[in-house]
Amino acid sequence: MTVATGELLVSLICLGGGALLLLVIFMAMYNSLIAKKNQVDYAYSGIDVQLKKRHDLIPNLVATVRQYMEHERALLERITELRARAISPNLPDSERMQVEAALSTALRSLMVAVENYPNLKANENFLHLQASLNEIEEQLAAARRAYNAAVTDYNNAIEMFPTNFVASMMGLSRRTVFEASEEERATPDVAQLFKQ
Amino acid sequence: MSGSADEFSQFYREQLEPILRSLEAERQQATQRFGQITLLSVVVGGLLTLLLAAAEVGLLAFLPLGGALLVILVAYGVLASEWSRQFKGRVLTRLVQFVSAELEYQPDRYISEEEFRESLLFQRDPDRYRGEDLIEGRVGQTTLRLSEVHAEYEIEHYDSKGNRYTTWHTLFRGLFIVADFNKHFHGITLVLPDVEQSLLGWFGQTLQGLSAKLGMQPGELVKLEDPDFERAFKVYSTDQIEARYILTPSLMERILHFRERTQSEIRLAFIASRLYVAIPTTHNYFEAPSLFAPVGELLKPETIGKYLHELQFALAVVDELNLNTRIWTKR
Repeated sequence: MTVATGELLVSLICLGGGALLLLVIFMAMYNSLIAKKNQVDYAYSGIDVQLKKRHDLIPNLVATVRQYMEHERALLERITELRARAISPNLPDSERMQVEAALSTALRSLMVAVENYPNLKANENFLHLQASLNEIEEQLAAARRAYNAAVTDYNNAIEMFPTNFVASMMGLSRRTVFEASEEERATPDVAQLFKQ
Repeated sequence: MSGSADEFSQFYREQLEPILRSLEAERQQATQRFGQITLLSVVVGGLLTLLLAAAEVGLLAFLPLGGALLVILVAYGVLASEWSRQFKGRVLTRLVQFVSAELEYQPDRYISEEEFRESLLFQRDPDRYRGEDLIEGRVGQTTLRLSEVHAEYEIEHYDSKGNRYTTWHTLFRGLFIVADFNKHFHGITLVLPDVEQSLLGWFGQTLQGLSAKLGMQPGELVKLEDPDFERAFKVYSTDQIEARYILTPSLMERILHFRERTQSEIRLAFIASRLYVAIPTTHNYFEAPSLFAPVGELLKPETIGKYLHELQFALAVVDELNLNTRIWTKR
């Protein structure tokens, strides 16, 4: 082996090593981006699960309170209608979230209206449904926050150096976080409602 | 839970004062007895020492004096522990019952080492574990157990000659609380003091994430949106959504407030619908007053007021963390 071929071999090894290292770094970044993207999808499905639970609860809730709440017919009808729209399969995603937000607002007003019906508040079945609804709303809030945290993490990764290069190669784009509505931001103190 | 000033003064007058009077008499008797024993031992020991010294037996002459000292120490130990037992059994038991009839006080028992380990709050297991002053029962709808705990670990060293010696270090000392949480959950969520992030910022958080990936902490790092909370604590959980279901914005605020109130680096673990809280402190809670307290000290209302405060502090976790709010499916 001549000196020249020796040098060539060394530089080839260096080149190969460098390329391998780059490949490993690229793979690591690629995989972490995929993991973050999946985390977002997973968190989104967490929201979905709770929304479905809420859809399942509503008919039962409406049926229970209807006998007591004569003056809230309009509100109950609105809730039933919103639920029907929310579960219809051909609703686009953006509109669906609006419908769910409206449903949240309507359910909250229903829970406030309940305070005017002492008989209802003594109904064991209703109390059970109310606790379940509180549970779902609490889980829903948690799922939304988890989703927002996952999205923030993901957005940071696709905008920060050096993962932003890999992300643009993969064609990943920013996602938007859930904006809490005005009413939601003023955290409803459910405990307070119970004390009245 | 009762504890208003009026209720307390009535309870103090009617129930505690008679007991405290008889205890004070007993305490004075005990100190008298200790005085007699001391005097007798010193006199007898001194005389024997003088006699032996006269017989010129050398250093052996001091043996009786040493014996006298031993008798005095043993007498003190016996009398002081009996005094502490009487005080805790007759006064603190009633005080705990006054605060809540559903609570029970057991001075010699404590949170088990097994429960301490189950909390996963500390990264290593203790080699020596002690405790006292168990309070057990219910406050409102919340079942809880709490006690003082002192957990230590041992480190082996070798000196230059290769001889092995060990030193003991405190892993945790303070109040340890196990309470029933007001929501159902299945996973593990740990709220630990944040050291790395406050020192190293963004890089510290990366390290925290890594320590979960390496299996040093259960689950993964949870990044929460409350900046004050994030500065004070780091959170690990086996479930990102469940961690947020437990740590609502309002609970995070309450935990921060509780940390301020305790002025210590509290740790919280949420495991299988239970809450573990570790409040480190060097103060010895629920300790009987000294056997040699000034005459009448015991009968001052402040003396007992101090115990009431300690008790309310230890039970404050229920109100501070709002554990009695049961509006979700867990009753």
